[in-house]
Amino acid sequence: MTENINEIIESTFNGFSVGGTEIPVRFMYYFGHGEPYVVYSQADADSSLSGDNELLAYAEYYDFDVYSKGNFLPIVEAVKAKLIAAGFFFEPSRSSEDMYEPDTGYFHKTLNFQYLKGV
Amino acid sequence: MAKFMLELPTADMKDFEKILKNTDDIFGAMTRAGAQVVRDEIAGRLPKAEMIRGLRISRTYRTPSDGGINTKVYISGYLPFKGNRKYFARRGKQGGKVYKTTEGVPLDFLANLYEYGRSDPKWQKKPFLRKSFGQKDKIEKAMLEEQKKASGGLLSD
Repeated sequence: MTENINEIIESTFNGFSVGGTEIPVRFMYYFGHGEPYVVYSQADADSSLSGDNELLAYAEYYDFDVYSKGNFLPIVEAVKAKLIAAGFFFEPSRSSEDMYEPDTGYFHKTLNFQYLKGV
Repeated sequence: MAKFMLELPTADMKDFEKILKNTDDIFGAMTRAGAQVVRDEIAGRLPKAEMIRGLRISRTYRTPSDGGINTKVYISGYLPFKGNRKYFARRGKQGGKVYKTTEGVPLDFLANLYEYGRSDPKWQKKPFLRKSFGQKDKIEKAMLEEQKKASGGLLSD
């Protein structure tokens, strides 16, 4: 049976909080008004393991976008720790540098993780 | 103590010499071949067709820090304004200086916006750079083919 990655992510971040602040983690968009928050979405997929001309496993790459108007580094580290513990692999070369949106005041960092999925 | 001696045929010695003399050229040609694949992959995924005007391959160069031979694929230049817009400004991180231009929207800014998105949900991200650089099989194949060609068939996969 193949796993539903979104369900894994949702259960991993159920009640996610950093430094006593609860941080919503949502699929694709966050329509709430508070901050900080994290949104996730699939960014890419790649065939990874084949045998007898059949695909046996593939990698799915997920982006986790951290948005915060304050210090986002503890959130970044907490997201990494949670996902690595859940079986994801951090992909530094697919992650972004630190970004800043002057018009909204948000700091933004995209973290990319790989999840190996059996067919 | 046991000794071992090996005499290499003259022809092989000349081949090694030729490869050694042309190492930089061979590696340079290989990185260019890989960059060309990435450039084509990016061109096929551009979220805005007009961005093609800024998609470029750099000259091949050596980085002094590690002696590496590199060829870059990059996006630069501007997308002309549409409508009544007269200038584009962006501010660095808090306290950073303001960058202002009348040439158009900087294409590197636009590429970053599409690649990673932003907090405003109307800017849905469309990753196209990472997907293009992720075509490792195609890139490796092109580089190995170039290795064979540039070495006159002496080096092959």
